Amino acid sequence: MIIYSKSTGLNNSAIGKLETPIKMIIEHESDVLTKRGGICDWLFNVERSNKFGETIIGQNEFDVFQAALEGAGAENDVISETYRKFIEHIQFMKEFTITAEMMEDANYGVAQDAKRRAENFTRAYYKTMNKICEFALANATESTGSFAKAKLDLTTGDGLPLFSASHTYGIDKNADCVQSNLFHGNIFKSGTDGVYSTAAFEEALGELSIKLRNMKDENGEPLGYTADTIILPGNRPAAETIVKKVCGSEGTLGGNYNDINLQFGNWNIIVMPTWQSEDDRVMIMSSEANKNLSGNMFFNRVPLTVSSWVDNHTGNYIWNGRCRFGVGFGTYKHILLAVDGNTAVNGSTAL
Amino acid sequence: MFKLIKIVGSGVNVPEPVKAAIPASNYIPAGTPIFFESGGLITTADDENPATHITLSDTQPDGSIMVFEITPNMLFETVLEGDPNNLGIGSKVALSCDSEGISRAVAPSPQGRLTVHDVSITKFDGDKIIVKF
Repeated sequence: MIIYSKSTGLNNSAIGKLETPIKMIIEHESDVLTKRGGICDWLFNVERSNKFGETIIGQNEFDVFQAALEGAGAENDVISETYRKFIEHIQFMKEFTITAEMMEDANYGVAQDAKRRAENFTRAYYKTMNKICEFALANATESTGSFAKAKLDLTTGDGLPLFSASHTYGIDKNADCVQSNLFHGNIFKSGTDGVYSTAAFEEALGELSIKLRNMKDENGEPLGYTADTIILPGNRPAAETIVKKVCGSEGTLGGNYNDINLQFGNWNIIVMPTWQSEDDRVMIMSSEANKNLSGNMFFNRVPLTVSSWVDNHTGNYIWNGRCRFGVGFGTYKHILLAVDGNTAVNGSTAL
Repeated sequence: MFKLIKIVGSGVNVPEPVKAAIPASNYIPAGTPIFFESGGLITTADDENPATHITLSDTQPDGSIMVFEITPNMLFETVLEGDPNNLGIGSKVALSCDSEGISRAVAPSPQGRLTVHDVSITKFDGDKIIVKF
């Protein structure tokens, strides 16, 4: 606790203070979150930055040409900025201290092996990256969230949370220019008694895909992006089983018909292990839209740097790891959230 | 449990440990706020007797325990037990009945110095919170 030392009595086996032989020392039990190529790389656009933050700006484009009579003049068109999203980088740090005596006497582990110390900082760094990305997505029905003492801005360019039923688009921003990417309805269950049903999800998935395809651009035109990614919580086994069955079956599910399953082979399924949901919910995303429209953004300002020194006063060895990055959402049009149930959640739209 | 997370304005984040005597039968876990009664006997702090030290280790079998002295610029992470009741930065709080966290249900004593230092979002029962002694 606090210092990796002998006197706390918590590291006795590292200095050989035990009477039984050691067969195995389990320093890490899982690699799920602690490697490169995790959730952050799968679901977010990871880019470098060399400024204090990055801004994503959206604008409309020219509308269609307008017919004009012989001799008449052309109508005017206008381009203007319609939204702006600023993502500021946050500094993250970690420090670790080992007493001089522990460095001298340890037989294994962080005090004995320099490679272990470096590896632990790297693992924690990737864990931070992956967990903050999962947290941002899993909590994006709120405007802000707090992760590892960092206040995260989970809104998009229109000032609303990533998942909202009232997103705005276009120059006018009037009551007609509103669209939703937060839905509720019979997603995994059907009937009044709410029985889990693959047929219900097969139908819902088709509907949700078309909702995403019809997401409007800043001119009010459907974007036409094809959804190809399903994101699931880590603790909903019934929902997860249904999703995998629907995405992996050639024929239509839950019925006597011989129809093909339109969803077969079209989806990547990603389960976010630390997204522990209290109800069945699912996110649908288009990875192409995510990339083109700067959806889920991770800006790497300063990658992990570790420095170390000796405190002359105590002889303690100190390591300090530091990094800076920014996480945020440039737009909402690449992703939607659907919650299973007939009651609105956070003002969701009925499917 | 009170976990020392930072010593503000200092070049190091770890205190200088002190070894104290304690009967091996008196089990006090690491991270417990304590004070020394007259005669040097270690006792868990409560709202009547403010903490002067925090335990760095559990009671050891050889009748000793590692502790460190609390200084004003130390930040501790602990648990809010019970309702927050308008908790904010600078709120004076008291140790919970089991001295493993803080609780608004216990009235802080006049000589207590425990205040909330947290700068993050609204807290609820069971949330982690940062305090200063």
